[in-house]
Amino acid sequence: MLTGRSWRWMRSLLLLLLAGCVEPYAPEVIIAPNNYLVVNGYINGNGVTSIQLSRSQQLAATGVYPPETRATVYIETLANKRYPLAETTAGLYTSVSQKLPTDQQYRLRIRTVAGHDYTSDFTALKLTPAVDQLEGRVQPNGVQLYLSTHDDQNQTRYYRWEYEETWEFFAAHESLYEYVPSSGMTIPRKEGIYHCWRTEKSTTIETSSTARLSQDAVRDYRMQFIQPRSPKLRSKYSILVRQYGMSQAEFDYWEEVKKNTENIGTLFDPLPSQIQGNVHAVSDAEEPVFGFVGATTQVEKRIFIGRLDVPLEWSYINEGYEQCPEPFPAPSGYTAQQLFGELNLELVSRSTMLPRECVDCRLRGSNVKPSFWP
Amino acid sequence: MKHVFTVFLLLMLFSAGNTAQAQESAQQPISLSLQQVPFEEFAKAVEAQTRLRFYFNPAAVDSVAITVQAQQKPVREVLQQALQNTPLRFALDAQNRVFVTRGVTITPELAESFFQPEQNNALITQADPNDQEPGSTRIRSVSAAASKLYDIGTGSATGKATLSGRIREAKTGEPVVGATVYIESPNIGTSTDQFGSYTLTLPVGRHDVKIRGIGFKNTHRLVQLRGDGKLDIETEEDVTSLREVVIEAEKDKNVASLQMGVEKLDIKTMRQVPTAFGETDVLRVVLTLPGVKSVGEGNTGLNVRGGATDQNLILFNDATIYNPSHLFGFFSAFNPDVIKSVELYKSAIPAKYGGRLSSVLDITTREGNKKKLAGAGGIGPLTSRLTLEGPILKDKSSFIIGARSSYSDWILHLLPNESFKQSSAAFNDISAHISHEFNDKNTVYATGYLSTDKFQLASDTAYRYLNKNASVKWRHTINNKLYGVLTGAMSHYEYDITSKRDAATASELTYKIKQYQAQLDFSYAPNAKHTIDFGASSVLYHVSPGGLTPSGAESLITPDVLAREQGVESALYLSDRIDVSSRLSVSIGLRYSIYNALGPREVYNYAPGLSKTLNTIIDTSYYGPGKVLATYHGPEYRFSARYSLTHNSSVKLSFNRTRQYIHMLSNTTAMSPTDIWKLSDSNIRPQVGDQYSIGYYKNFRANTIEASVETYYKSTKDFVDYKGGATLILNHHIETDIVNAVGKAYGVEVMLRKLTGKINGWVSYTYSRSLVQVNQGTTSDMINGGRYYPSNFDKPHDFTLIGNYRFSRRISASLNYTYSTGRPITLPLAKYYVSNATRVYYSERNAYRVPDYYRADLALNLEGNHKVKKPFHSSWTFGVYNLTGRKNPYSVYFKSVGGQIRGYQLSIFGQPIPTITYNFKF
Repeated sequence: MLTGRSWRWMRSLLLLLLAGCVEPYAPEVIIAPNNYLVVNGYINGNGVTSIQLSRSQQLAATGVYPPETRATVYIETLANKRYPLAETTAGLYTSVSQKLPTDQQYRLRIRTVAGHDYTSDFTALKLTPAVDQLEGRVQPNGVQLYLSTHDDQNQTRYYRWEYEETWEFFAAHESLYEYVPSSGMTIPRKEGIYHCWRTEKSTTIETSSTARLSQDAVRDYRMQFIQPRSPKLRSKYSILVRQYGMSQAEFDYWEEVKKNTENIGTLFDPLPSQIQGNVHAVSDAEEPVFGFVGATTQVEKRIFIGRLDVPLEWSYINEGYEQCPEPFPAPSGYTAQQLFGELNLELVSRSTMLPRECVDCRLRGSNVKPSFWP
Repeated sequence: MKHVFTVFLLLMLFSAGNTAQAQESAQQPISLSLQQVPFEEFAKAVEAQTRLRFYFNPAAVDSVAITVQAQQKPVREVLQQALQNTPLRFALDAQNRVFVTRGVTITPELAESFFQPEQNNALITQADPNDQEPGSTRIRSVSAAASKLYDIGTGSATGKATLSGRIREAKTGEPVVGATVYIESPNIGTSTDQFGSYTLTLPVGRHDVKIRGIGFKNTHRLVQLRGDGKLDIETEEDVTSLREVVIEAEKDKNVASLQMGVEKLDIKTMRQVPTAFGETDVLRVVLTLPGVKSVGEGNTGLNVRGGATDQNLILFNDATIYNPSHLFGFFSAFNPDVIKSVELYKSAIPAKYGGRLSSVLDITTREGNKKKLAGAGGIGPLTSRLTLEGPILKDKSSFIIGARSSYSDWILHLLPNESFKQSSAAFNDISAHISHEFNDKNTVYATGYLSTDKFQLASDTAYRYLNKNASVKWRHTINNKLYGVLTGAMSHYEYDITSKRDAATASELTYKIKQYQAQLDFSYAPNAKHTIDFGASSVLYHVSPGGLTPSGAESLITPDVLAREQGVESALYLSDRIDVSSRLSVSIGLRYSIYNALGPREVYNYAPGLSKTLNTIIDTSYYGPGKVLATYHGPEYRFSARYSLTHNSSVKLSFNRTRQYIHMLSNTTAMSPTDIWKLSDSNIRPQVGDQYSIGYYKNFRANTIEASVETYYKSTKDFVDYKGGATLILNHHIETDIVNAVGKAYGVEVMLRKLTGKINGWVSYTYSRSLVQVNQGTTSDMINGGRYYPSNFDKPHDFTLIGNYRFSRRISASLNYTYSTGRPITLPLAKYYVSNATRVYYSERNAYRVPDYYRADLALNLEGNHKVKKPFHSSWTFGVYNLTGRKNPYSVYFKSVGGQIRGYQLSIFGQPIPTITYNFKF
């Protein structure tokens, strides 16, 4: 679509050509605690509703976002029917798997442990159509993933996607032996740490609107692009896309979130705004509350892309392992404790070793084969 | 000729000498009885009885015999009697000097002011006291025309008469604009208009009419004014642009002129200011003036005294320019070689101009050489330009045509990246101007201007925009006191963006605005006290505010074309400049403008008192073609006054109201080519602004240093601001995303200029604020809770130094230093986690500021030798932009990268940028 994005991109490109430079910018002004309630999730019309409650932090803060625990959370219809949610892990509230009537308006109600009440706006339940097609097409400069969907009833119009990518990868070298500190013995490794799977969730907001189109059909939405040298394409890659239909209000909300966080602050970007989702504090209209709680259903689609599906001449970079040397013999003058403790080395063969980062793929993924993996 | 030279020397010595009682001396009674004596003897006899001293050329008087009989008669009468029947004529001056010449007509009654102090009138010219470089060449060339006495008009020996005429450059025949034409006692002056014409109403008698201005040698004419008449004056080009010439013009402007808040720059001054790409950039120089700001570098949107970028009327020979920039704003869209001068009105906007709130930037082109074919050009790192000019009919008509083109493509193509190679960026512009003088009373001017910009991103999205302008002007002199100008102008601006990335969404987005304008202006100078300007204008606007159309058969895009908008803006104006006394001048003006938004159009009607949203639309009205759907009108007051405190200091004050019926919609801070201009209609009211200003002006050291302090307060209402995340493109109900804002701005501008000598330049400091308030409609429409907040271009402190040092006539160096407070920014305050990524919570709008801006530039100009007769002149400019390599933030932005929020600061010119430009002239 014709957004300002390509314009900005073009401009920045020229700016950089003109000896421009980018430096980090960290002003001191952002010091207030700013811990406001954050509501993340949606009312699932067909399945388990999961709502994550947390608190916002200052920009400079590190660590996890503080979960909002021990709150009372339930879904409420206009006719006052309630569907409770229970806290399963800290800050995560889930309902039972249920099918909600489609002719109702729903909202989420929250009462925090401190006694503050919050509510989302009532919204009609959207029914998400199925994904027609999700495929990766090989292009000269990489693999482009396209998604198509449509709604014959022309009811959906606004779409949002989240995805999870999983790919198989290998450490720089396979460690066949391990040193057991308790016994001081070198034994053949039982648990493989050479072959792993890495999963990444989408961090960008993927939305599309067909409101301008004559049919409610999304054709070839560009979901994700994989560079030819990406380690994702080394052996097998999989992507799971979750599709949600949504209301125009929610679409507008995500568009604003997108504007505010993905591209902001250059002269040619829109002014950032204090985004208001659809959740409000009952007693104080001015209190910022973040998040938008829609009511929809979820549709999933998974595909795989194998090494043979892409040109063989695409040589991958084993990302994260570029600096790994060949295995080397134990450096002299160290005890085994020092070598496998402080120096963080792992055996490759009985007599050679490498830093742990080069052989233990668990540092970058999981060595447990995912259930969906063929 | 010994005596004549003595005269010169004495005049030099005594020009500022004592003011003896000449009147008394002239009336002093003497007694003489001479019969047929040589003139020299007569002179000695008179000198013996009085304090008078005679000056004459012995050769001129040697054959003259004098006979005179007088008993206690005043000297003047005696002299008259003695020379009655001889070819000799005399003149008496304030220093008791009697100048005797042969054959030159002298009228016995002298100018009213003849014997007043500081008067240097004399039959024989004196060297210009401002001329720092006495030399025989200079005296000869000036004196040729200047020492002649011009006899103007016939008739009455008393009363007043009107002197008018045109001032042109001798070499090219081009009119000299903005030259000051004046006499010193009584102090009566005017300046030439855009056609080089002037009108002065003076007492009948002898006057020394002085002509001063920028870019030519100062000169003067001795005039014996007997009745209304015409005096055309040719000036000599000042080949190397002597600095002392500039100050003479500014001297009159600073203290004596009625106009305040106006800045005039000629192209020679502008050439001295270093720029990033080596090419003289008109708008960039305007940005160094006090009260003019921009949100960042690489951006030609002007913010004048706290006004938005759309509140400036940019005129190129009277045609409105909608987008004055090239290549993302790095270049201004005007070829420096065709430009003559740029005038910026910040306050006290003349009643003649209207339609924009903050300022008028009047760019005029040169007329072209009327005598011979000439050319100029330049070669820079990114652009080149060429200008040709010459006569069509010698001395009657001339043309000038200038073209400029970029070759920035090669940089893109050099890059080792496929998508860069497929990208392109190019611009060019052509300006052409023709003038023809049918006779003394009728002259016609025509200007055409075309500028285009094209850029394409990886053969995917192509942007294109263009300005097309034309204007025709007919100037008709009705009589000495009245002339009229009829102007017709057309402006056209359009852009389109084509996207071919996906077949399904391949589309073209277009925008177009056209403006047709007719204007009739008169200037009437009935007498010395009044100068009356009046006229009428009408502008017809056609806006095609955008259309998204599918391109290609596979495209699923449904055509979405916004309805066209039409409007007519008309105005009548009348202003009178009254010189109440030599100390007090007042200008009173009234402009009355009326705007009609016209059909055919469909207009949404919103529930009154509620925020305009889709939900508050009550119904839709349809207006047929030519039907008026909304009318706005109102008076625009213009008032200014000047009171001279002393001969070198004055106080000026002004008030003006302006109305603006067209608004630029841009949710970005800078001007960008995709900005939309929107006409007022039943849902969008016109903007109205008031400005009060007062200033004190003083010149020091014989006018070589001038100082000014101006302060202003401005209030604007109904200017356009946006709700958060407003959609501006293809919005059928744009009023739902717009809020009417109230603004106020105030500031003090202090400026110190020295434009003579080896070191010259100016220093200015400005303290100013520009605040916005959106406090209407519902809470969701309010910005920052309805409180005043800093506008995007609120930069309180601003300091600029433009310095030039002339090592010799051929080598000069310029230093430019500028500091300003960082512009306001909306900062992220908190982060939170939603949908697998960290999101950001932003502060109130414009609550913080980016780091301060400062930059120093250096340029060295080397000119070839100055032999006037040389066919080809060339010069080199070497410059370093951003000498200290300060990384000024062009923008500050925050990005969500891998779930982390990081702030970045982008500097465009983050290191010293050397440039080299070759300019030539033939």
